[in-house]
Amino acid sequence: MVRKSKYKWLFSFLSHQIPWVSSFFILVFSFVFIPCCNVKSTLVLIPIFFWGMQKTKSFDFISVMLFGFLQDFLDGTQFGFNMFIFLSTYFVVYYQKFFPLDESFTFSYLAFSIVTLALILLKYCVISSMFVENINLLNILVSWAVLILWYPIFFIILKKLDERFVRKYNA
Amino acid sequence: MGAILNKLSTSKALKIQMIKKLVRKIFVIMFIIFSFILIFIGKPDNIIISKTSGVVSDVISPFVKVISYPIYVVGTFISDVKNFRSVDAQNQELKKEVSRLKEQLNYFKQVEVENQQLRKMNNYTTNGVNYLLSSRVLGSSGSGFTRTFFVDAGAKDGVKKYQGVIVDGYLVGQINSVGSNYSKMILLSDASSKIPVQVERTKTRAFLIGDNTNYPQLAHFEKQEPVQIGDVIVTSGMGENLPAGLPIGIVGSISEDNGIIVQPFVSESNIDYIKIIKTSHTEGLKNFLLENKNAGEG
Repeated sequence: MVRKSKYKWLFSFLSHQIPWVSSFFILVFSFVFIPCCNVKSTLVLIPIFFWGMQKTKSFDFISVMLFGFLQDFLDGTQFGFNMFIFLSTYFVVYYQKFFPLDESFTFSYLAFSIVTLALILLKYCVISSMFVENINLLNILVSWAVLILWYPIFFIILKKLDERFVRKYNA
Repeated sequence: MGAILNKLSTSKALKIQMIKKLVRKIFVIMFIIFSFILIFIGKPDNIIISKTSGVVSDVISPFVKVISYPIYVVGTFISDVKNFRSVDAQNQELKKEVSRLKEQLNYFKQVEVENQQLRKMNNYTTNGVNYLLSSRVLGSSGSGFTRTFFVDAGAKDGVKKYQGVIVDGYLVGQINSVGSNYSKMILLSDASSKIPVQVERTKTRAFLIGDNTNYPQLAHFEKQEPVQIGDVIVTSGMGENLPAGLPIGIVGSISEDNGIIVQPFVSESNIDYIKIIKTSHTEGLKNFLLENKNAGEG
């Protein structure tokens, strides 16, 4: 009996780490170099959106901010941009009360597409008006389209992780 | 009495929970505002940010290396299978290349000896010699806003900020931040890339500016000289970060709307292995690369 409770504590601890570990893995994966495939995207927006949608306690705004820091340092864009985009995405998803996002994939997919498009366009407007004049909009839209294409795959993986580990051991 | 007390404690707990939620919400909003302000304060070329970026690259790159390993193995296997048919022809070509390079090496040895003797006679000292450091691309970032590569070489290998990066003798980018084992390079097409170049035919100086597309633009001409489609663009050597005369690409199109577009000699999607120019104060590297290229074509 004692042994069982010990294991339960361990599983609970590990399941608490799943949201940020999965986000870190996706962040690293977004930087993996694939020859002949040059179009990349900020894939870490997917776990930020997902865990924000699930209102996961172990993945709060501090984690989101840290991922923004990491992405800013790795990307080399104007410092603070990704942090702003990530926190804004998290805020919109976490505090919105219009749609039950976590129940329907279609709703969440649509919401993710709209929120990320709006924020990426905002980022484009600020960067092109204040820092670099000649950013190509088409490239940014292609990058966003790639992000949208990746969403269902990561959604399924994260959903499975959430149901099998995060919710099960933290209920 | 008990029921009333119970109700009171429940409402108190609810109040505390509500306050906690509100505080959390305020904190998130504050951090969003803070990050927005940070955009205008934190320049990427700031020394602290640049150094921290090097450290972060050092931390993240091993993970990227591990995850990219299976992709690298599969890619190598596919190219091996593709190359298998032409192994014999390639072998013959390589034998020819080896004998040609041996001849060239003998010639360079003679020139080196001659140079040393002449330097002694004239008491001449050089500013430095260029060395090429070979490395592999580990990861890339291309979110539409940046075009950077993670490189498997860092300060321990002698890599420094602003050193040029070449592929097959053509300039493809510059080192942007350096960690101890890994570094980050920005490609010529990155929106923050601005390289001093010149049109080889007219010697007109200009800047090659990236816009996150595959084709950077020529702008800020020193003097108004007609540029033609097909003109070769090389580095001008201004600023001393890059040696003069490194070929970059050719003028691909000229229009009023899009400006002068340069078509780089190396396609970014084919960059796999790179060479970093470790010092860049002499003309020696340029000559070496050009001679090597001409001999290769011959």
